Amino acid sequence: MDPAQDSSAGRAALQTGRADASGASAADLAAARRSVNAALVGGLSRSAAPTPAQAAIRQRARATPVLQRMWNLEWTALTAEQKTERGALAPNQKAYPSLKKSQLNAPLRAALTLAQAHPSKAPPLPAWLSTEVKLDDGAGGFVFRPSPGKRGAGTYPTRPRYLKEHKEQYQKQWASPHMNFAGLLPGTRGAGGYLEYYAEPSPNAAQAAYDGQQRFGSNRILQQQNATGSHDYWWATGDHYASFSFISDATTLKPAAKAAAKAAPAAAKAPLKSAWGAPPGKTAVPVGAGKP
Amino acid sequence: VINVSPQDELDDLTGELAERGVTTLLLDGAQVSDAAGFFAATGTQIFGGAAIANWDSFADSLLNHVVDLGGTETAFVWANAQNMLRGDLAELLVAADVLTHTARRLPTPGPVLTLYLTGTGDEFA
Repeated sequence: MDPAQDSSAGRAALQTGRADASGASAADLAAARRSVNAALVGGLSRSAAPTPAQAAIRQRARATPVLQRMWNLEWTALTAEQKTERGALAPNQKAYPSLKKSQLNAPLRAALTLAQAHPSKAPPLPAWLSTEVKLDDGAGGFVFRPSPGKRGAGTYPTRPRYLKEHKEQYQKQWASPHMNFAGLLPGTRGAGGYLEYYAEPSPNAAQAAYDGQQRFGSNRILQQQNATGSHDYWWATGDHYASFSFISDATTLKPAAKAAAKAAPAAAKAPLKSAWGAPPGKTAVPVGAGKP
Repeated sequence: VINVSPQDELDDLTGELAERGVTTLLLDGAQVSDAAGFFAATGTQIFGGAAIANWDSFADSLLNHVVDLGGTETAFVWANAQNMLRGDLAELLVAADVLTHTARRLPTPGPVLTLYLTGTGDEFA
């Protein structure tokens, strides 16, 4: 990303590039930034001492307000290969618990049905959200909650009010990318390949999660995008990404595969091969091979 | 884009951000030298005591929190980041990846999220 395209205050200030009172010119600042960039992007762990020239530039630059001379680092996302090279970021190898659709809790089961019917575009507001929003009485809308938080006690919106105010957010985040940053799902950690769908918060957990800023609760459905294959696979979490279960009887045919199956019905009856070569939850499966 | 500055200018940084009307989420990384410490610290200091299980949990909580705060710009200021830099570089890189990804995922039009690291040592000089 070109820093000049960024709108943050720090970067906007940086673009002014004006000389400061201490004599550090825009060129000096740019040179200092380049040196820091090189050191950090090249290897954040390196702690090489600056050259005398770099130190002098930095010393002069420190007379400038901090936001004007902030060292802006271009963040270049690691490639999947680089991530794999790092031991800590290597794909996990584990078995995945699997559940049948009927074993999911009611909110997750409903969200799965909705997600399968609307896999890429937000559906109309689901019944639970419409119902909850209607509970907002239009009055006060705020209740006292002594739990800690940025809003402070006494200024939390009621749950119906919050959902009313954020129902657009709920819809915008429907089918948003899930990057698998924690690496608990198959695939290279942080490489994505999943779409995420919010489900209704579980009644018992809703209030605690709501107070803890997770106001859309902890229930999520995920679709594993199998770019080269013919099927989509579905996962669920009920504990805000701490663990995932494979939904064993929810696998769906991609539209192209459906069309092909119509043309050749016999092929569609062939047994589905598991995405990982063995049924999830039964065998430890290496998941870093690149294909889900 | 990540912004880096020396730890002893943290007050200047937060002051200037406040002057510009930027909402600041301040994480004191004094006790953060690995991912588990990061999740515990953000849960306590930023998310009002919420349990943050892992990076996916953090990303989701952060995105909703920034939207919830409103405003046009939010700065995630990670102070004493040198502890994570030296304690677990790989997880610091993941943190930066998660934060920049979250910044790009915010609704448009909507709030802008920027990341600031402050710390001690040559990396932050």
